[in-house]
Amino acid sequence: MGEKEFKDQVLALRDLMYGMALKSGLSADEATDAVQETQLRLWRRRQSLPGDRRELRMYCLAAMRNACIEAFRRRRNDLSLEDSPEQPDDRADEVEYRDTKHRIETLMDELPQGQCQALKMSCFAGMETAEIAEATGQTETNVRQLLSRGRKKLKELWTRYESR
Amino acid sequence: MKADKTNIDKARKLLEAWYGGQSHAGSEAWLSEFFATADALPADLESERGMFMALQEAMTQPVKMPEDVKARLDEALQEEMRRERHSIWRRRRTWISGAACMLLLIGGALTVRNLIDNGNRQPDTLASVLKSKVTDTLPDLTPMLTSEAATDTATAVHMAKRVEQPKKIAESEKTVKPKKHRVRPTSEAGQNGEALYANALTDEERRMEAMGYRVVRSEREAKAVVGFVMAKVEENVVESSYRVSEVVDRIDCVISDPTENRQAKNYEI
Repeated sequence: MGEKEFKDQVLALRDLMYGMALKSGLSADEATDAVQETQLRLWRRRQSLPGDRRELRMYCLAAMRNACIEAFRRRRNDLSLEDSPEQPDDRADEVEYRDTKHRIETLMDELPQGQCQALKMSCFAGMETAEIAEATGQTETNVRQLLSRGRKKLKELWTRYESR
Repeated sequence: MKADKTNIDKARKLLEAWYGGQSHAGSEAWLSEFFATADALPADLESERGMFMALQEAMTQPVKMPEDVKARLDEALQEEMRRERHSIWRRRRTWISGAACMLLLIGGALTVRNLIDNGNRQPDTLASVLKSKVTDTLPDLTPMLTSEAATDTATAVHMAKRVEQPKKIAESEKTVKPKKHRVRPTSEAGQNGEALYANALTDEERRMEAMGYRVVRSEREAKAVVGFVMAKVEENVVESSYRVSEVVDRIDCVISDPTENRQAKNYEI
């Protein structure tokens, strides 16, 4: 893959990769570093990148996911996936719901920190349970519990919103 | 995707795993596609459709990258490209330097080899110098015949004074029979530069004689010549001359009276 093709096909996915990093719970600086690291890796491997656009997209997102895992691993000490006490249910009514696009993210933010982080890494970064456990330093059993509780809570919040 | 019984059962199963935290990325993608394409669903699954669609939409929604972030990423990529180009040139330069060194080494080796080959031819020059030294210090040493040579033409000994000009062999000399011809070493004969041969020389030997070379057929005589040369090299001229003179005297004795004291032939040089 030449320089022009790289710029046309790979760099065009930077917005998507940046969005994945942000939504998965990384800060803006962390997301920028992760995207920069990913684009350099892809540049160095440009000769072996798949030619098909769909495969290339999946390849790039997989590389971005790995970069997100590394970013989470770097700040493992700060990230706490402990199941903090759940907030009172009535707070769900106080949430200022934005449009549908951001509703689910807003509802996620209302979850306890551990559940929220695990859900975001699973939904937006496409990480498997083992990868989340590796990135956060938790056991897979803990991660599964967090995901289970988080999804059930999210469903509960969503149903409450839908019924309003 | 059709909302048939098979797919509905599969969807319920996957949903149960999803809420239990046991699902995988593949099953989540299937559920997303199922909920996006299925038409009529049972009520329990219909209530899940909304949330899954929202999750899918949130996942694929691109985020506009700020311009300063984009500029920073572009600069980092340009820097990497620049570093790669510089690295390629540095690798090429290393290869070129290595090839140039190899060529220099090969050229040097060939030059040294040529010099050695030229040096090996010097013994010719050294031999000619020694030859001239020998012949110059032995003006009186003239070719002579031994009684042995007289009887055996194959082992005849020839010793000739070095001549400056190609020699002409007299007709009388060619026809001389070994047995009858005896020559006493005389300075007069040596001064005249005449060469007397025991028997006829081959053409090659004549050519060598003409070039100033000494033709030696007898091993003993060859030893004598070599011995003399070595002594000369060691700059023992007096001793060498004495010894050669001694040889001459001994030979003279043998020639004059071959029946007596044959041990005299076994002279040591």
